[in-house]
Amino acid sequence: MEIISPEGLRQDGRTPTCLRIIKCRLGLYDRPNGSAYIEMGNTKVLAAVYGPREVRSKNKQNLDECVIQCEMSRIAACGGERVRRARDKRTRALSHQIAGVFHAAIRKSKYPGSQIDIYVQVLQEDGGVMSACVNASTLALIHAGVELLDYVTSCTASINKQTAILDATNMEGQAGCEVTVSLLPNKGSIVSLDSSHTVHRDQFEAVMDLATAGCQQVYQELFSQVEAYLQDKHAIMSHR
Amino acid sequence: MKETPLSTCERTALTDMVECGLRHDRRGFLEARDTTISFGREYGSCSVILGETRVLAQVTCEVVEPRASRPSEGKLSIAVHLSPMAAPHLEPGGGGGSEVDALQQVLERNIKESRCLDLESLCIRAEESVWQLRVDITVLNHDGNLCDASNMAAVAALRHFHRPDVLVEEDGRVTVLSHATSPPVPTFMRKVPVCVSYALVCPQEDKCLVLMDPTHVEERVMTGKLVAGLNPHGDITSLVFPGRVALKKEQIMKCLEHAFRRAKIIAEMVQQAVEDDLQTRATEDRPSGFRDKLVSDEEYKRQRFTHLMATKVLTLPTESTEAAVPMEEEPSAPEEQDPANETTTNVTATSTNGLVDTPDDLEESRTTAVIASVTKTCKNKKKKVKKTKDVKMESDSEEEQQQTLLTSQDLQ
Amino acid sequence: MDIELACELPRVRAMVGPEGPQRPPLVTPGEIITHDTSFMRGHGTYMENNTQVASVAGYITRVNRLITVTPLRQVYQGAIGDTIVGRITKVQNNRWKVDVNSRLDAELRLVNIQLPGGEQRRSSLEDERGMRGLLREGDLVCVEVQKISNDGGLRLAARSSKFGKLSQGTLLGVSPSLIVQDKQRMHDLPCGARVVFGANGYVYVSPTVPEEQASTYTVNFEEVPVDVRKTIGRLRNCIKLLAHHTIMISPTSVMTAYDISIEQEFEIRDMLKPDVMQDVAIATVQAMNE
Repeated sequence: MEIISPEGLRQDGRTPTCLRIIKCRLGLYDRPNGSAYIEMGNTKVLAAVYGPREVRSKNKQNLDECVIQCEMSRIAACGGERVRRARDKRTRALSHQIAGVFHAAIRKSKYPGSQIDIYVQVLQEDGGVMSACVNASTLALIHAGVELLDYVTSCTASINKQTAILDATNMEGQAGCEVTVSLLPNKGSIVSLDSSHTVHRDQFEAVMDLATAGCQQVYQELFSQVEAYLQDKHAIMSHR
Repeated sequence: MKETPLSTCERTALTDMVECGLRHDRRGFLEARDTTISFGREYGSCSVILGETRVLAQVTCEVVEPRASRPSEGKLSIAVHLSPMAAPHLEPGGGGGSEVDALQQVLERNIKESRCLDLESLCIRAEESVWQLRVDITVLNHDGNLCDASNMAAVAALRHFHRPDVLVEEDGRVTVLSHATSPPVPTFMRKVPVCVSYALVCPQEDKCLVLMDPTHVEERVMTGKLVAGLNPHGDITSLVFPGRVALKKEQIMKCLEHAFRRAKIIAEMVQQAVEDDLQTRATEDRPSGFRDKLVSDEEYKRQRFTHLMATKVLTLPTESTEAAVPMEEEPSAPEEQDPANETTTNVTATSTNGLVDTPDDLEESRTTAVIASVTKTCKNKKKKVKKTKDVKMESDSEEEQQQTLLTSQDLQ
Repeated sequence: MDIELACELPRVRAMVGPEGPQRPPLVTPGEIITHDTSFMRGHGTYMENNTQVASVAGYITRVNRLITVTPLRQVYQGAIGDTIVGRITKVQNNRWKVDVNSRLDAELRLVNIQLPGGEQRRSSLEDERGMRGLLREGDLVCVEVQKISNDGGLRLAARSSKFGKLSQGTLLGVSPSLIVQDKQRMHDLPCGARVVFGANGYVYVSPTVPEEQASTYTVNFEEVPVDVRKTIGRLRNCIKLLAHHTIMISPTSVMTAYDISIEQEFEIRDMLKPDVMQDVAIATVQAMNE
């Protein structure tokens, strides 16, 4: 089964450099300080942010800057079939990576002695899980009013027989490598880079560039959504 | 046990040094520590010493049923054990913890997912029995950069490993032949995956400096880390950059270029070490294993003493005898202690002296010294204060005897 | 791209809002505000390479040379003189730690409260030992912000008789940015309940109490009559639905919502249903616009 047809289209009709449709929403729930939901194609992720608030355990308290913790979990049926899994190491590793991403993006010095908790739940996964988690967390942090240096957008790219493809689904990603890039779009600096499966160094740069371009596209989407949210809420709030 | 916190002055000293272009162990920014690869007696047992970090990898094999989705491929599993043996702040149990998770993820990606090891060659009978190789990596001493060391150890161990030969009957029964009956078969590794770690230190907000092969202290001070898994053929097997610092694309590409250069060196080193060991193994009747290679604390101390001995003249016994004489007028307690002290110093003097000589002499001198000290202390305890002078005389004479013993050994 | 939760109805959109140039500019994180370095940086911005960049999503306020970006939602920042409602989390040597919906727990010192007995006196050792008798973990207090300490934690005081321990009633947490700025925080509503609109977003609804009993540290366990309880329940649900539809919470808006709900004869328990919430919210906004 070919991933890219002779006409140059993929299984779902996209060109190799086309992103999947992104639907997102800020502010689903009132209880957490910030919450957001994002759908990138069939990957659906929910994020909630609690904080900044008092640290739970004193020995983790850092008096120079805030402590950031992330906990990612997948629901049992996220992969299509119901799998009973404990918190396996892949999920734990991803949680640490996401926390690391936001260590670079949140202005930690503004919240000394406090703690920010990010909880991410994957409802359905179809490729690009870490990207979706990062994007959802960014929106949730913006909703919570936490000070950020910039948005953090993330996108995945892979290689298939010499052609670089953007935002691969599970099926497409099985063949080749998967490079996930998280970016601060307005500054152009990379905060996280993750590559699994072998990729040759000559192709690596092309793949990374494609993923970076994808991140910029994601930024446009998220930006317009946040703007719409602000317009909406602000009009109400100024009505006193 | 909780990790002792790094003091602020140490932390600022390290970051300031890095800013000025120095590292605390006087290496260059992109310079690695001394690496030693040595092999044990069995096939597949490898120890890597990277500066002070020591890692041991052991490969074992077993015949199992293959996975249903891949019926003609062998299995490979990698397990990392990071216990308080490596560093006191680690949790007992060896598993769990974020450090082990990260390490395991890097190793799995680099070695398993990169398919550097030809798993098809591990198949005995498709869908029925295959070899399962298990690599157990134990960290013996944690002084930073566990990724590089573990990866090197695992790869070297896999290359060094020879699996036993098998005999497959018609009815499907598999007989594993011992090493005596049939020579073991080496594993086939296509490309050698290498792992290179970079620590990213940010002395100020904007500046970001890259250090290769960080030590434990540097790891505690660093802001971010970049771990690149590659092989000299130009493939990037894994790249883990878990954030905490924002980097530009050019910096990452530069790191990768340097990593490729280093990968060539490491791959060659591993190849060379494996080949050397296999050759010596072929010539020797009984492989010596780790016995001569790993340096123990005792050995280290001995080497230090020999160095001290070579530079200084031994004066310990004469000093103590001179000290004994003026103390005759003093009360008994110090006098009683004095002989005991003298004996101990004499014992050590003889023992250090003895180290220069052959082991037999060492034994002799030691036993004489021990006997002398035991008899001396017994005599001291039994005798009363008024007889201290006698004690003194006796001890003097014995010391003189010992002194003569020493000098005679000195002359040898 | 409308994503909706199951059985959620679209939230109320404002009927009236400032149009055109009056509307303050909105920014999102990472957007450059100005290249002019003569402006002072306020909250919600940071300086990078001589440009001022926003760090939160909100609207810009310019006061003389100070530029601030206020986000739409934030944990309670703290302002001196605010009346807030908090919950005791810890009892320490001579102070209590209070959770006030802020980024650090606030501190209420023993010397800053009015000791029972009425007259002013210094707190002695017995008072320190008896702290748990006054306030224990989980108690609700109505206090005033006295000072903001260096690390950002708040120092609270309960010096006058209107502050102190809160007895029977209901607590409700909303976002602090929804609470209208008001000098008077405690209101006795005409329907027969007393509402404390804490500036930190914690709103407390309780039955009206006569003045003398204003604040003691003993809980009044007298039974509250059923109709008063119903009023409190209805008020609480009104506040909840106003918060859900991001309508500013003030005594007027709460009373308007309450009156509408009585007029349209909604059951108290029905008031948390999405369609009812939406009806009341729309009606409230309309009524307030008139």
